[in-house]
Amino acid sequence: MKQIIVLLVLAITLTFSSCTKLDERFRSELEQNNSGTITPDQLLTSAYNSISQPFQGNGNLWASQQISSDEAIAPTRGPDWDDNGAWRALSSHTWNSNQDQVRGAFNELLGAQFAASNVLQFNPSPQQAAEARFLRALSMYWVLDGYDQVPYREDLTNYKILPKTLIGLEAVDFIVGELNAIMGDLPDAGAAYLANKNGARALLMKIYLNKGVYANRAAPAFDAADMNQVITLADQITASGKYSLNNIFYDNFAPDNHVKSTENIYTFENSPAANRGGNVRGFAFMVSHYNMNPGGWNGFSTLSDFYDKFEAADQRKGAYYVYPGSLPNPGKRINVGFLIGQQYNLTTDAPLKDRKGAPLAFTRGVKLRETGDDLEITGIRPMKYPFDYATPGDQKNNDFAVFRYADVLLMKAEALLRTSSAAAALPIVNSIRAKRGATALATVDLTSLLDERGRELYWEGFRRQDQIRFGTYLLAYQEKPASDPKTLLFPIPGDQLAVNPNLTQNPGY
Amino acid sequence: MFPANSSLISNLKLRLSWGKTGNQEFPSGASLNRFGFGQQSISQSNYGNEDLKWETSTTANAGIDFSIVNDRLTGSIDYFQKKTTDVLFEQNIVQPAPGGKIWINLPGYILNKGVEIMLNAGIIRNKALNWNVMANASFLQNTVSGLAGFYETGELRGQGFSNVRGQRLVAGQPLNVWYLRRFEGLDKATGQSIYADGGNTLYYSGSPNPKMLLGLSTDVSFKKFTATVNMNGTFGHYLFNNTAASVLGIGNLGTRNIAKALIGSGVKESIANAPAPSTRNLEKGNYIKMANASLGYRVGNIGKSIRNLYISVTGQNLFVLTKYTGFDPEVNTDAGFGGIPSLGVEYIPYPSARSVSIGINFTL
Repeated sequence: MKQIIVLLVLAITLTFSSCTKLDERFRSELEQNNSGTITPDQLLTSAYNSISQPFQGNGNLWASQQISSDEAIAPTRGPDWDDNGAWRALSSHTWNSNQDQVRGAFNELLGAQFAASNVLQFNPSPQQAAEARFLRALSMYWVLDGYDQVPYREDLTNYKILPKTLIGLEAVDFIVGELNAIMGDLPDAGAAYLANKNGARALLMKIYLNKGVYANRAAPAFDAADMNQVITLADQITASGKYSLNNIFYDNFAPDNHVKSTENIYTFENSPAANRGGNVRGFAFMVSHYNMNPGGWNGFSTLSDFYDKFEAADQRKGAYYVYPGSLPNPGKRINVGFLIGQQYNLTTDAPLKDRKGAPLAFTRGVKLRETGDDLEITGIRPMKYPFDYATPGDQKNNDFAVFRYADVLLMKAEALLRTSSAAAALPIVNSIRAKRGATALATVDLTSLLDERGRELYWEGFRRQDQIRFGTYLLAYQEKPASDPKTLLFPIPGDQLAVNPNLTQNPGY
Repeated sequence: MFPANSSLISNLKLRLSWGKTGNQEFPSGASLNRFGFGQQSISQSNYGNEDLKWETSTTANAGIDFSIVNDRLTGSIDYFQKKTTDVLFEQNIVQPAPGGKIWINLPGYILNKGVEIMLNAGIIRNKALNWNVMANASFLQNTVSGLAGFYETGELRGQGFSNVRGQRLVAGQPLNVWYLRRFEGLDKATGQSIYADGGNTLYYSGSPNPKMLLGLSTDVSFKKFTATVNMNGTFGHYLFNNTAASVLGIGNLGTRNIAKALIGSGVKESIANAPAPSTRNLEKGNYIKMANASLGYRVGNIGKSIRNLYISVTGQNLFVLTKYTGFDPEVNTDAGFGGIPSLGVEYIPYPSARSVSIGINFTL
């Protein structure tokens, strides 16, 4: 009996000693309690990296904003690009709450919000805090734009405290308040890829311009006070004296655009040297055919109705562009802008063939589901970011343009137009057209302004937003029938709806 | 009235068991907030869950063992049920958050239940000839409850299959249930696939979990000959033939191989038809396989130096009876996604080898 008691005591002691707090040590990670070595600049770098992902290449936010618009189409080409119908659903506005890109954009943007908020937990300097809050405002604005409901996690210390949901104008007020609060601490000068005052002003312009949409997406009304804010902010950006329109449109997107562009107000830095980078090469890869250089994924195209909006001499339509590292291009073929017709080897000028040996000549026509013999070559291909041949590897040097001065001017023109000052809007629009090699317009109205925004800003990630604001998103257009009004908002992704009781599904889904 | 002196029943036993076991399979650091290193940067990798505890499996089992007709027929029947609660699971986290997921103890349960039958018959037993036949069969069923939303896995591969996951974990369905477009044949005019609801809707399309596992074996010894045969089979589940879907599609015509099944049917499939993920490549996985068979002859001693000479021929994987069109229905290519394992995907696996070996054993 004694022995049994001794054994029992021993067993209990052993049990308890093995139950004391486990002290785990990590070789490749830091633990929260051990985080004295984490500095705010390291977290800020992560916040910058985090928000640049969903925008670039065929990223989730980019795709949901652009493929769902009248500027872009992602056709299913025989065996390619079916992807469970994800791309067709975007193009035809038939997505559901499990749509891949719609879900991905929501989660990535909210992840970026967390990364930005986290900087604030680690004693940042006033400027670092302002930069982080700018990045957070940028991510929240895109969630507002797509989904109306913006989960906002105020207290980061415990995951069990549910984020509150800012809805519609509530989110507008929050973001505007944030941007105004940080304006004084944001830098005035410096590289465009760092958060700066004019970037914050451009973001404020976007929010004021779309505020009527966020109040009522089906029938937006634009308040004169908001439009005046847009005009005032544009004038402040102009008054900074830092920006002018580039003579060569593509300098804004070239591998050395951080040096050449005089229009880029805020960019995402892509630089293999600085180990910073999103998938900017994707802008070339997603359009270029397998047999081109660079050999791409032969996917996305624009629609001929959109292409036909350009005048022949408009350099935005297409150009022969020489830039550091560009291929010799002895035939001086169009290598940026819209690629249409026969394509050539840009080193030897030999005409290219598709995989079946037929001429590689991009056609005007394109269908959502390509089934013919020409399925590899249908569709006009936009090449907006000149391909960085000089830099090996997947990371390239073209910084991604988030806000450009041309956009600021067009937003000001729109605000003037919406406050019955069409006469003041016209010279602004024509100043841009003159730089791009297009003829001056005699008059400007909302229709021609939306067209001009398309010509200037195609594939930059704003088209869905613009079409909703101008009321053309639901209409039938090339390769898309009229769509259900519910599609003015994306659905709240099912995976988040299932775990976050503070979200409700958007109407109609 | 128990037949204590029955000549028919020589052994009858009732077994009941019940037990609880714990399991703490979550990765190191799941309960702590961790920070990872990037390129000249640091970011939080996860939210730790301090409340994580062991998951508990409660197993109950009831069985009967019997032996009748002078032990010529022995066997057992078992019913088992395993209910796992506080299941450790990496759930989607409420965004905004670091990482996409957090380890939690699920508020629901996973239930596995089934029946197992085993029979062993000594059909002939005498000095010259012995013949035994054994059979066992298991019938399984599993369900999951308490999952919030659904979790995708079964990452399918190939051109046009980007970001396509064919399976789900979702409450009220079997684990890893197939979730796919429903294929309804080829359009006679265009040679294009027809899908239910134009392919815009995905449907729960069957389970990759077998309903029944079967084993059969027999051994015969006749004088100096011995023979053994083992067969196994699996029934009632669906496999996705990803190889046929994306490696042997009609688009290969003229350049590479296509699946044999694509030719000779009434409808000419368009060469541009997308080999899209759908129930077209979901196949019944039923099979019976001759796992191994061997035949031996005991020669005995030869002369003074060679003793106990035994010669045998053994074949492994000699044949498979199945309607499955892939290499081998006994397949499970890893197509896990987000840490959730997949089940029943075939994607260019090595075919299982067929081997025949000849053995000569003796002692000196």
